This record gives sequence, structure tokens and C-alpha cells, in this order.
Amino acid sequence: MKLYKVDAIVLRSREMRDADRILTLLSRQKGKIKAVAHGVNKPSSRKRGAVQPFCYSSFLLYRGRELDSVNQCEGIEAFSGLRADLDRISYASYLAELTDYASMEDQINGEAFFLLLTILHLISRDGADVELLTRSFEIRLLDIAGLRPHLDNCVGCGVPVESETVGFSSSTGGVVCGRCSGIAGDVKFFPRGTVEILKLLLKWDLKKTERIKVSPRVRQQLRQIMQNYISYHLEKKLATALFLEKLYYHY
Amino acid sequence: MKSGGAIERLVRELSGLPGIGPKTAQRLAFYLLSASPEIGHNLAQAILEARNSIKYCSVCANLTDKDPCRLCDDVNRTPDVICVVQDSKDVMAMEKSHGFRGLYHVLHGALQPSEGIGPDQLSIRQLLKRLEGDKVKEVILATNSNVEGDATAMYLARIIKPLGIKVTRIAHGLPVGSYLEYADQITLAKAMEGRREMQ
Repeated sequence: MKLYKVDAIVLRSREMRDADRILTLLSRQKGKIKAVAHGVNKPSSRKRGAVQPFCYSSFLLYRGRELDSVNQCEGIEAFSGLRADLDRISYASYLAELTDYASMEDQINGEAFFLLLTILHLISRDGADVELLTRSFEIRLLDIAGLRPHLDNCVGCGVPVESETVGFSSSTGGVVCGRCSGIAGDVKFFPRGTVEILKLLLKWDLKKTERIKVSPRVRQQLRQIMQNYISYHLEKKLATALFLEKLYYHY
Repeated sequence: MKSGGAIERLVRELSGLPGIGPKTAQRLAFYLLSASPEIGHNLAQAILEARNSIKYCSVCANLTDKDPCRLCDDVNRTPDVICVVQDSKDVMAMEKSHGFRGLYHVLHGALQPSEGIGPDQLSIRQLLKRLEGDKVKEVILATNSNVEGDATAMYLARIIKPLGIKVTRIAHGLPVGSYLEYADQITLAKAMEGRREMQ
């Protein structure tokens, strides 16, 4: 059967020729898929709404020789709250790009799919703590991808790190005790509380993230830890992360 | 296609244009060669003339052959309302609608987080310069109704509003002549949001 049905989140939608778009979808049933949506830039297109970035839609796809194409699609959840705020759009773009890079094509990844769906629901609400939810998403996605940093024991000697100041190294993959701080050139020191919040973000119910009170200084430290760690392990600084930096100068 | 070098080159050049495939390029090339010589000459001349004389207007950044452009120079237009659009094509579309008599500003793109296109790549600085002084009373944000267009509009609103200038966004909703049952949920929600009291 050349036609197949998936429920998917649109991670990316790029223009291709005049009215067509190439979509990167994260589907529940088949993982990451690339598909072309013909004629969706035309005002008469009925598929237009469902192929917008971050939309959760139901797709009927036609298996092509090189690229699948969208036969029919219908929006399930449009997350219109995301489009009503610049911060939310910018962070949602970052979350989508991060998921895109952390997912392999045609590899089913239900956990990443449901994580992204939940986070999009949460950040599209008015008054959501978008930044903290983003940090929580990052650490959980890294966990799913098998890239979670070690946060309890020193990556050098394996001893639990309990000092007030904790070293963190992206290249060795986690926290470092005082004696092992020479293990790598990229060790940076943070208060223990910051690392504890990172652990909390991993375990805490995502819907209750806003209950965690985090000072601007700790937010900045969390941002630094996660951005360095992600850039190191993905071997790339994401375009959306750079965009956020340009937009807010504080990311 | 196996024929003389000049024809082959013409076909190749034409097929490089957007929306024109090799078959259409071949048809156009043979039409140009079989039609009266003036058609080909006039077309070539028009392309060359446009290419050599068209530049960006120093006021609105629209494509123009004279600076400032005819729209910015038109005394019959309202100078205190600026409509911000993404492309020069959008200015032409708006002009055809005869629905706006103010001035324009062309951004030459939209913010695209996933492509790393930020505010510096658009003509936003030029727009802010136009807004200095008290001349402009309203800025209409007429960027496309997609994620990139919405992000650009929200960014502009965020930086223009503190200047004390009224910022409005063009309405979104059902296209004229369309059926409600065929509209997608975002369009319907936007149409509902932007409803107006009947006169």
C-alpha cells in the first residue's frame, strides 16, 4: 500500500519551488519523516493550515521513490497560543530544531514525540515559564537520546559530588569533583544548587515546572550548562539558538 | 536537446527562471525565435533596462528606477501611515487592491529562526529611522500570515510600540468567496477572533 497515515508534529517547513513546501515531521507511528506538500502556498490550498510549523496534524502520506508526499492532512491541534507571542514562537522554533537534530529518520521515538507534544501544549499557554520549560525539555530529550549528563557522581573518579561548588564538563559528560577538575579543559564551576535544579527538571512533573523558583542568575547558569553541552554533543550550534541570542542578547 | 549553441543557451537560460521547466523553456525559446523580431528585441531590452536601472528606494527600500520611488514621492498619499510588507511583490498586490493610500516599507524578508535570519538581515534599521520625529502616526504590519510573518510582526510591534506610535496588524480570516467548511482551524479561529460588529 503506497498510502499510509500518521499523526505528526511539523518540525520544519521549508519553501521548495513556487507553492510547494518540504516538511520535516515527527510522527508517533514512524518517527521522523520528510515529505513534500504540493501547492500549500496557494490561497486555495486546503492543506495550508495543517502544514504550518509546530502544528500537530493527521497526515495521509503517499510513499514516493525519493520523497513521500502529503496526500491529505487535517490539523488536530494548531497551538495558536504559540503564534501569539514572539518569545513562544522563538523558543518553539528552538525546541523543534533540537528535536529534529536529536532524531533519526524512520526511527520510531514515541517518548520524544510525546515530550514535544506536551511541551508545545505547556508553552502555548499564557504566562508559561517558557525558558524553564525549555531547560526541562532539553535535559529530558538528552535523556531519551542517551546523552543525559552525569549529575550525581564525578565523571573522573565516580565519587558522589557533594561540595558546594561543582565542576561541569561538556566533553567528559557531567559533573566533576575538585580533585578531577584537571580532567578536561572545558571544566566550569557552578554552585551545587544549579546542578540540583537540573536534576529536579529531569524528574519533576513537567506540568508543575513553574512551581520551581529559579533566580535570573541560576537561569543564566542553567542556560550556559545546557547550551555548551548540547553544542558539544550535537557538534553544532543550532541556528535557532543563535537567533535567540541575537533577539534577546542574553540567551 | 541537440541543436545550435545559441538556441541551447536560450533554453538553458529560460529554464533557470522560477516555475519554468525544460519543456516550457523550449516552447518559449521557439516562440521567441519564430515570432516577429521586435518581440524578442523588446523583451531583451526591457530586461536589460530593468536590470540596469532598478535599485532600492532610499526611503521605503522598494525596488524602483528613481529614488525616492514614485510611491514615496506621491503627494496625494497619506505620509503618516506606513504599511510594512515583506517583499516588493506585496507592494504590487496591495496597490492592486486600491485599499491603501499611505506609504510602504519593504523588509526584504521575514525573521526565520530555523534559518538563522535575524533582524539585522532585514531593513528594520531603515524603518526605525523613518519613524524618528512625529510624522508617522500608525504602522500597519502586513507581513505574511505564517509563522515567520507573525514572528516578524510581533518583533516589530515590540520595538515600535515604545516609540508611542500606533501599531496595527492586518486582519486574518476567510478569503472572499470561500466556504466555511473548507477553512482550516487556525483560519477559523483567527476569523472568529477578528470578528466585527455589523453596521
